Amino acid sequence: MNKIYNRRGIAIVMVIGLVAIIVPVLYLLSQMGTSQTKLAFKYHENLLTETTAFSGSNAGISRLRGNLRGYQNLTNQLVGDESYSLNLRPTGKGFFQQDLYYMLASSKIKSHNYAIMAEAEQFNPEPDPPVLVISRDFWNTVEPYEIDQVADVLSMQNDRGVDLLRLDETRDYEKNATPTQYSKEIQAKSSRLPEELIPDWPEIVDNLTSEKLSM
Amino acid sequence: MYHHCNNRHKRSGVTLVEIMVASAIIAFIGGIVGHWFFIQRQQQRRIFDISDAQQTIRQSSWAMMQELRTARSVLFPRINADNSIHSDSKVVFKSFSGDIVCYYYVERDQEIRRCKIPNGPGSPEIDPDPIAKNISQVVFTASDDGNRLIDIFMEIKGTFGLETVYLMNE
Repeated sequence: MNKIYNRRGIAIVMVIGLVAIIVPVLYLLSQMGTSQTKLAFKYHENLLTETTAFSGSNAGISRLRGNLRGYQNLTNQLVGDESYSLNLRPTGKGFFQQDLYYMLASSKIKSHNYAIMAEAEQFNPEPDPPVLVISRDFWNTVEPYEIDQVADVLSMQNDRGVDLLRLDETRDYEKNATPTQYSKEIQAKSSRLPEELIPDWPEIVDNLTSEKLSM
Repeated sequence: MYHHCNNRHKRSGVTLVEIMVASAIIAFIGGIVGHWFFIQRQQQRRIFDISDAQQTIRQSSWAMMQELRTARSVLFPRINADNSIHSDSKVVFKSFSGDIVCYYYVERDQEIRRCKIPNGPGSPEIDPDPIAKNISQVVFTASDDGNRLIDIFMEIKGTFGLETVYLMNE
């Protein structure tokens, strides 16, 4: 009797089995790598969007140029907690004598380092250099403006002007109505409200009526 | 000669015991790897869910806070008569323009929606798109006696967010 056993059978089954295990393992490892890449791309996209948006903001460039405190280390609070810093590097003058810059954003998020560059330009403000004005607006917001940013300020005022016109209308409505009439008219809207609001509507109307403006 | 060939033929086969031993080893290794694989996939999915939830919480809180910050007054919820805090799944306030704005939670659809009620003639208008989807709960809390401070607490499947907004306008 030949007592030497051939192990080829075991070897074949083991190889096939191990390949069947190794393939999913490799797939898993590639997936883990992919998830890290996806996160890195997400941060990159966020940062790129912020930098590009900021490079188009004349007021933002002025503030960076003026090295205003708080603009060197920004935090994106809308889409993440990533903090980044922006810097300007002047590169010369453009065809219309505007100043040209490279805007550099740098950030370190987890193990990823980002350095993003955007091109920025700023037309010569008047007066030059711009005069910084710290204003306190209608909303009690402290906002630094520069005297050459009149167009920006005007557009902001126009935008808010729509709200102010509507405010005049609502105030007039309150003033011209008697408390009973006002309460009745607001209460009458309850039939068209979302169902989640209906149970508390009488209390809301009472609060509104108690604060109603009068002539 | 025949005997020799027959022996060689027999040796090249696989016995049942060999297959069983190999299968047992592979099943053992496969079980360990499979379990690890499953755990990793689960963890990966969880991380993505948390990331998405945090993003939704931030965006929706930010949208609501922007409007609340410039509001005239909070109409609901207001602190109770005994000065204790008052929480609700909706907040109603007089916006900067004087109209009545409400953010409310629709439990059925797990959504936060915005409704604008004209402070004057006109019908209430519900925004076509929700402020946020897949919200497990949202709570607005009035916590100061001037009713100018509102806490916004949100939860999305075990991920929490808490923001506080102060009304700037008198």
